[in-house]
Amino acid sequence: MRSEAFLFIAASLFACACTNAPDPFPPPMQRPAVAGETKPAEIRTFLAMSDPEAPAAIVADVQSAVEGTGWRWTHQNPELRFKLPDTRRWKFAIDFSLPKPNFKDTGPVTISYFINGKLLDRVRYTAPGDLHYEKPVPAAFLEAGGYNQVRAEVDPPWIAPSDKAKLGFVLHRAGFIH
Amino acid sequence: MAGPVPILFGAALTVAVMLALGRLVLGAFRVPLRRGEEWWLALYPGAACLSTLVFALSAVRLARPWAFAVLAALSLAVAFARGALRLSAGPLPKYGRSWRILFWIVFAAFTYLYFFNAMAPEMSPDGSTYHLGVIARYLRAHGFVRITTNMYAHLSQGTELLYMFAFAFGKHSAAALVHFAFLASLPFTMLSYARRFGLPAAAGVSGALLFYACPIVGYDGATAYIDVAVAALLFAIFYLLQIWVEERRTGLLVLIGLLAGFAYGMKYTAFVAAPYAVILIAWKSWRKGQKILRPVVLVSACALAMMAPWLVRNWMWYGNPLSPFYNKWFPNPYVHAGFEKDYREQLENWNGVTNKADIPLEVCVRGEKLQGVLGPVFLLAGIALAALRFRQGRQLLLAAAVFLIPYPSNIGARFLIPFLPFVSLAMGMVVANWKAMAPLIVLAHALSAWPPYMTVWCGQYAMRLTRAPVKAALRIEPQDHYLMRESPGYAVARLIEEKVPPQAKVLVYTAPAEAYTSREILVSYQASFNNNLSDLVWAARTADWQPTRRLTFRFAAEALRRVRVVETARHPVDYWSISEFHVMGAKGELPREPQWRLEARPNAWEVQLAFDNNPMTRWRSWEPIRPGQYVKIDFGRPETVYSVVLDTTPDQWSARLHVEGQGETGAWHVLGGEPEASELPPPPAVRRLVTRELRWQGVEYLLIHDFDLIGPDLREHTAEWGVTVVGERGAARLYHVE
Repeated sequence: MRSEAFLFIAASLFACACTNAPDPFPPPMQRPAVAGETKPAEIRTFLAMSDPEAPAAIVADVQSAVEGTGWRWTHQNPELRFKLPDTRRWKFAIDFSLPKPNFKDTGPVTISYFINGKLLDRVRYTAPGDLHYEKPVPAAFLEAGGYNQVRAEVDPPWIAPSDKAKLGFVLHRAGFIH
Repeated sequence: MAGPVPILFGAALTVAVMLALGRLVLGAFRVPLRRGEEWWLALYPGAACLSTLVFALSAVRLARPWAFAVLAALSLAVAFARGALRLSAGPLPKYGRSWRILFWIVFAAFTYLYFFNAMAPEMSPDGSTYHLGVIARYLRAHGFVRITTNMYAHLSQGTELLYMFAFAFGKHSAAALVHFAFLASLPFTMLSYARRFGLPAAAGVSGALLFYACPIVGYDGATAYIDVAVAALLFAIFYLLQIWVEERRTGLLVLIGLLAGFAYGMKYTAFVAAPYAVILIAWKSWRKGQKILRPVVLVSACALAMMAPWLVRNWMWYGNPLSPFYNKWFPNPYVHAGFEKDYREQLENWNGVTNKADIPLEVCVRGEKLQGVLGPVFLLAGIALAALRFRQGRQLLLAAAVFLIPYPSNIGARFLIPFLPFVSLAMGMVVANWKAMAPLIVLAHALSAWPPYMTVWCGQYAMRLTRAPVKAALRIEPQDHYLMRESPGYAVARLIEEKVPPQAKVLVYTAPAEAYTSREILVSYQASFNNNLSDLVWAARTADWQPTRRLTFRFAAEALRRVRVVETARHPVDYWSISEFHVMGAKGELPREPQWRLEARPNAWEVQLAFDNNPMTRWRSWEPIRPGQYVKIDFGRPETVYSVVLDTTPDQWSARLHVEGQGETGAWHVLGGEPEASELPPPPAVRRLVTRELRWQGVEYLLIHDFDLIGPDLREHTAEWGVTVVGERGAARLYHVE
């Protein structure tokens, strides 16, 4: 009898331990609607791949899925577009990564940067890791008020063993800065 | 800011009270100790006593310097009056002169390094944030405070309460010096053990010095971390168990039980001390044909008595006796079970160290990924197995193995510290047979662990002491000046203290040195409330976290008392969420009436986020998707429902939902079929929606670094966010939310 009572008490305590769910809640205070932003950002010249505007800036060869902390895989010829208000004193800048495991397969990677089809630079990367590139862009390369296309060519790309997809690099941010 | 005198006074008084109380306890239990070991072993029952007394004072809001001073005076007076401070009779055997000289040379050199680092202004990552931040808050409130926005405040705080006693007189550095006292005493405890149990001098001295000169041990023990204090206590428990094996006194069992329970009170991962003690005592009793039940029950009861205050506090305040862990067993509104899962995975694979074969080299030599380094000599730790041929070697290695058990749950180098005293002594027993090799190994280890030489072999960013900051320790260089130069976290904490009014809350993604500000800091990951707010802010700049997907569940109109959305899929990782839950009637959306009752499983506490009319807030499962999870509305009366519309975020690829309804009576039944999916434009003015919600939740300030995900956007669009910069310090900006 004593052991049964002990078991009952122990079982009751255990059951209590795991059922501390609250009572149902009433609806909360309703938040009033907010009017439009006071100053919408009309022109974005530099974008992180997690930004809501990023899909609109992607032209080709950048994957639609945002991964991890907000980066996207590119394929061999990623292309983005940006509106610039003018053509003076802009620098093209990009933050990206060459992952170590892929680099083991590809070896050194050469990336050619094109602005509106004109070659801005060709850079050979001999080590993997997080990388940053920036370079002033001649005004003659750019178009004021319209879209400016930025394209990178990755040589060699990394070829995924499973589906033979050609992947370029991990893109974090890119665009034009002063 | 405390000067050198209050710092030394605070630390010395704390150690003196611990020793006095410890000697009283040892006397009361008639523990058969010899001269030379009684003082070293007195530290631990004394620490347990003092910590428990400070707990009691904090529980009744008497955590004040004068109350601590009275406690100190009484403890010292009683100990003196009872003759507890007298020396015992029989001394331990002495070691030879050459070994004593070697010990004192190495010990003195490293004590110089450790002491001045401990006395220098405290700026260790965990010490200056939560270890001291929480007790500083307790002291301001004169006792315990229920802190629901910092999960580290839910950990057992037996060590921190000792620091609190010292902090009351000498602030941060006094607390760090108390930890240093444990560090400096442990080699002597190890030597006493070695002398009592007949280990040769080469073994005792080598073992003690291998441990003491270990870089991560020095770094940890010279700051307001707690790992070395825990290791010292575990060694003392082992030591007392070995004495019990020889002497079999009942008083020892009580003491061992209390200390084993206190080990849990000092740090959760030291919980293994209690089962270790109980099983060892049961085994040894059985081997001698003695009764098992009585000693086992006695030790278990004493251990439980020391654990109980922390279990009860957490159960009463946080709904989970083991908070911040095991939240799936004990669901509560303060720590998300899903967060805990991710957090544990992070601790188990620090900085991407997923291949466990990398750990030896990382913790012994490199030291960057696992936050500290033991020293290359510990690559030879395997030789300790040769000590299995000695009885004490087997006991040491058994204890080493037991205290290694929690290590896989956090593979940081400092989580090996509790294991090191045992393995160091076992290594010492082995190298003792190699004649001259023993001192050579010790000297090589000591030289390699001396800061200027460490740069030769360890990683550049390995957590370690780099010099003895004597001027800063003695406050010849003012504390503020030193910390402003050396600690970015301190500079940010002072900015917050200057610019943020008392009682205001600050949301941060990178923790500042909380111990140096009295304002409430909400670190993004440290509680459910903080998780939700930080996700909300990130959502403003993360397209996949905005409600741009609408699911419409159409079905034949029906009078329903209750309706619920039920998950039907399963996924090991993904969560699901609802940003806004709309119920449509004949004339459009049914207004959310006060009599409605909302429920969710899991994460019941946050169901209102799906019904608050703010599209940027969302109820999330915070557990991987599995069938049967639901969000439910009870209308309080029958309502004719035409459809259910969910605004959701696109980041829940695996979720599969259906809607069920229930009339006034009758069973739940599925309504309609698959939902129609459509796209929604992102909400207008998302930044404003976010900051307005922050204010709604009582958060007035954001402290954002340039490198935080949201940093650049906040800097460029302050007007759209509705925030103003009120201060800057380095890469950090403090924003006031308008």
